[in-house]
Amino acid sequence: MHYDQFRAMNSDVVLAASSNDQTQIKRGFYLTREYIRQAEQRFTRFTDTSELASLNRSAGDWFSVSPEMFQVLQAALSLADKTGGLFNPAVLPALKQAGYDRSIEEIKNTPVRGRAVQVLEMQDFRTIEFDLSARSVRLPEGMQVDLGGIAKGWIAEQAARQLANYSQACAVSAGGDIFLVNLPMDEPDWVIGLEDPLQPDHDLAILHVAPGAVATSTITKRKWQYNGRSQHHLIDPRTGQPAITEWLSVTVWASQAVEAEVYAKAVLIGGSVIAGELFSNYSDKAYLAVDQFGWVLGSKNYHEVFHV
Amino acid sequence: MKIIKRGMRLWITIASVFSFFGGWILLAHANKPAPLQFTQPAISAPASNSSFQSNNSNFPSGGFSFPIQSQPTFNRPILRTAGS
Repeated sequence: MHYDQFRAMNSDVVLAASSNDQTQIKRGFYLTREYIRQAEQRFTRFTDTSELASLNRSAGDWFSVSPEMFQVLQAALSLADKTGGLFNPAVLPALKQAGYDRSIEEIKNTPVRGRAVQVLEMQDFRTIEFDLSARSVRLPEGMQVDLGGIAKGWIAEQAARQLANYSQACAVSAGGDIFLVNLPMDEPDWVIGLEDPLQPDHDLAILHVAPGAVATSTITKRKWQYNGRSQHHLIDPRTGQPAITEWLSVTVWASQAVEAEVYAKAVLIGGSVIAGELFSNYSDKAYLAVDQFGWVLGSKNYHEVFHV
Repeated sequence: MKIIKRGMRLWITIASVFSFFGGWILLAHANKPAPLQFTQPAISAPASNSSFQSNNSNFPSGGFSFPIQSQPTFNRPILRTAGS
């Protein structure tokens, strides 16, 4: 297996590919890096020149978007619906109010002071409108969208599918959102470490999984101090505040990266009751949750998916 | 004086016994609390931090919990899922 590691999307990115042709692998790594960098420029909310920033500025009007943006927004709408609104990309005003108005590198080590946090009326992302023929979207007046997690998952999957053209089996990991294509030669499964949310230097378990997507959502990574209070990036759309969660992290396996990413987030926000509802009908998805005592809790079918 | 003392003791004893049995009968015939029933809406108010769940019956999804010891660093695979 060959590896390439770099920083992008404010995360550690790992490319893994197996092939006997090293020239092909090198070319694959180079093109995948380029693809990820370009996709990041499109979906970031931290520059005024990104397509996402332009879309947010256009709220209230129809806005013509790229095929990539269209695809991610449609996936986001579908998943917002499936999670009963627990996944809501329209939480950007609440995120900014909580102090996450710059990249995490800028705020995580410097306590931020600002206006007192107020209860914001959350807009429901499901009120977004699509015009399929014109490939345009209309955000309702005042809606501001953050596609951070879902875009990262989507980029990981697209990048992995591209890298697969240059390798026999490959994986792309973007900050823990992993998409796996085919199985490495002579290997029965992919081997992935499940990081301990309380001790990032340790793994809680070694997971053996089939090709597909693995994503983890946690409240222990992107956190900062705002007006002397600890905040994290996972906004509960029911309250508009950083979620009070019973678990520290949730890891989901699904066939698509956007699904794994969004279900991990929804289960982390909603806890065990929502997990039971979301996963009762899905035998093709499974989750593992880590609580504050380091216990790992699994969905009914976890053993069919995660061979711990 | 002795008679008054004995009378007081007798009165306290009888009152205590009757109060005890009276309370017992009252509670025995009181309405019992109904079992808690709730339906979970698609989106509901967040629950407060739950207590430690250590067995299957407490876990609504039918899953279960198991403790795992963190693995030492030298065994770690390169691909790791950690969240962001």
